[in-house]
Amino acid sequence: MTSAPTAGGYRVVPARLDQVAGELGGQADALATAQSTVAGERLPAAAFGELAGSAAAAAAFTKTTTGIADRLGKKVDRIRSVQTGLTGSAAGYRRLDTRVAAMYRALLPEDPLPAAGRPAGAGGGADTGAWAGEITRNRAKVADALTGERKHLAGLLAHGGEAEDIARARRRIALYEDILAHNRQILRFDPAGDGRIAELIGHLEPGTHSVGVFVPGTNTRLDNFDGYAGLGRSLVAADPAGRTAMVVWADGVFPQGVVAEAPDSAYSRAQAPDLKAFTDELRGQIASHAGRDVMVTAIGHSYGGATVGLAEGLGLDVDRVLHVESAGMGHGIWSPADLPPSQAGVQRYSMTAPFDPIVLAQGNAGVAEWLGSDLGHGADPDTFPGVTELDTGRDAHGDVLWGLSAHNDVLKPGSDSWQNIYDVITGGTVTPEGSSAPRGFGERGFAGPNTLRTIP
Amino acid sequence: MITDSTDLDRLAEELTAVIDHVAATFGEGALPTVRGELDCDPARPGLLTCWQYGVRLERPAHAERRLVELVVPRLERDGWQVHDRSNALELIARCSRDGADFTVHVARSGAGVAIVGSTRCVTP
Repeated sequence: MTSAPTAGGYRVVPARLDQVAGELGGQADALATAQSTVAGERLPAAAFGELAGSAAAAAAFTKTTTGIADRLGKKVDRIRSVQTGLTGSAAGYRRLDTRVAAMYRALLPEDPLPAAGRPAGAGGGADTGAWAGEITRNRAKVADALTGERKHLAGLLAHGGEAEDIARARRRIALYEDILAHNRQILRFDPAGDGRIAELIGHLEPGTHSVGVFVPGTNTRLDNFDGYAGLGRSLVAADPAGRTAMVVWADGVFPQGVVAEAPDSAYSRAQAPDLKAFTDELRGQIASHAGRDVMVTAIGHSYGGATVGLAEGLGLDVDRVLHVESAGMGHGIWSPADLPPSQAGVQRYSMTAPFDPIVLAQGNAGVAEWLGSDLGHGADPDTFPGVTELDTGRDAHGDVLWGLSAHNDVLKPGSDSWQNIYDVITGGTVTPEGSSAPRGFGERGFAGPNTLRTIP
Repeated sequence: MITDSTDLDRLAEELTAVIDHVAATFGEGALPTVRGELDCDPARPGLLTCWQYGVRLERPAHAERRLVELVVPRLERDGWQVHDRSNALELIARCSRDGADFTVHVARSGAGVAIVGSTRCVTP
């Protein structure tokens, strides 16, 4: 029994699903052994002596055993398919249990945050955990990098450096100064080359509901990282209960050029294992500082979508995935069957503004990938089975987001797209693609005298 | 996207005043959550920037009723377009005017009010 009868129906027992899957796996292994034994049975033509018809008898024997082996092989495949499905179902039920529990809990009165928002969670003042040490170490690295970058800028100014190099140096210095001045929680830092960095915004503490991991895309560098960090700050600041945290993860080498480098999957293939490992570490920090019922959402923007997709292929431990103007589901990922059973139950969302040229990358490199090329980023996230496609809507002016400019404008606070990003992270009500954007306060029906309900 | 050279300081001052005024409707003790310049297009830093500002109140008084009965009518009178993005967890009023925007998030659980917004994008 993988389910137990209750007064209202049946309760699925994921542990039993796992157990049955394991038993099926054992049976499949035994059958596979028998299948290979039968498949290996061969008789020489003279097995029945020199009698007439001996060769024909041997051929008939071989044909029979081959047929049996083929049928056994198909049975083994079917058993393994059922086993995979059961494992995925168990993972999906567990994830759903967690999600439903979190939703109910969110509707209940909140427990107070520790020390009125001055938490002892990861990054908090009283934290002595692994990330506290990491943040302290990276603060020293940033201070060193600031000294180095100031010398670099002085050299550029003294020797007539390129204007763009000077501007980049100044932006790096501004970032380093801001990190040090505001005690920003830097989890990863390496100033070499274009730089690598990951920042925690907000806190992981008892009461934290939602954590987003934002992965930016092409042209990401240290000198423009703060624009993405600003998105993270706005998302954290919007939560009235103060229970959302964000990580802006740029701990990788990003392509620097839409045409020359962005089509190459090499960057995402290199980043994906690091993102997977980081998210595992994040889960550990969440478990030790905030509990186990926190919803984690991975958000991949542009090329970052391909990185998130490939990390899913490695078993990225998240509850939701959001592709924003994404390059694709990840190199080689063309169907849900290309993802491991651990990803069963992951809720996936995608948004792409109309006429954003990124559509040229989405799902259009199938032949190249099939031929073994490193170019391409897998399937189109907007049409991938099971994905909820979201509306990008309008900006704060009320203008429809579309075209090339929309590629990054969708990240701007005040837009419908930003609101959808926030809703995915916090488990709010998303606006699907094609649904009309609400116009006028009260369209959703709470402005009238009887609509100030605390819980619908 | 606006690309004129409007003074960002003036826009920031206006937005800050509006957000602080809205926050005061819910009570005292609003704490800043974000405050500073933001690149409108992260991939092209320095080209267009806006000012981002936000506050949060941990113990608002009658926040849902005040949002609907006081804040929204006043903002609409002042020319702000107010859009409803509420869900089961939060009342959310998204307000925009001349490219500036802010959202008022009221937790239905009563856990707090957050207001966060940004000016229109301008060339620095």
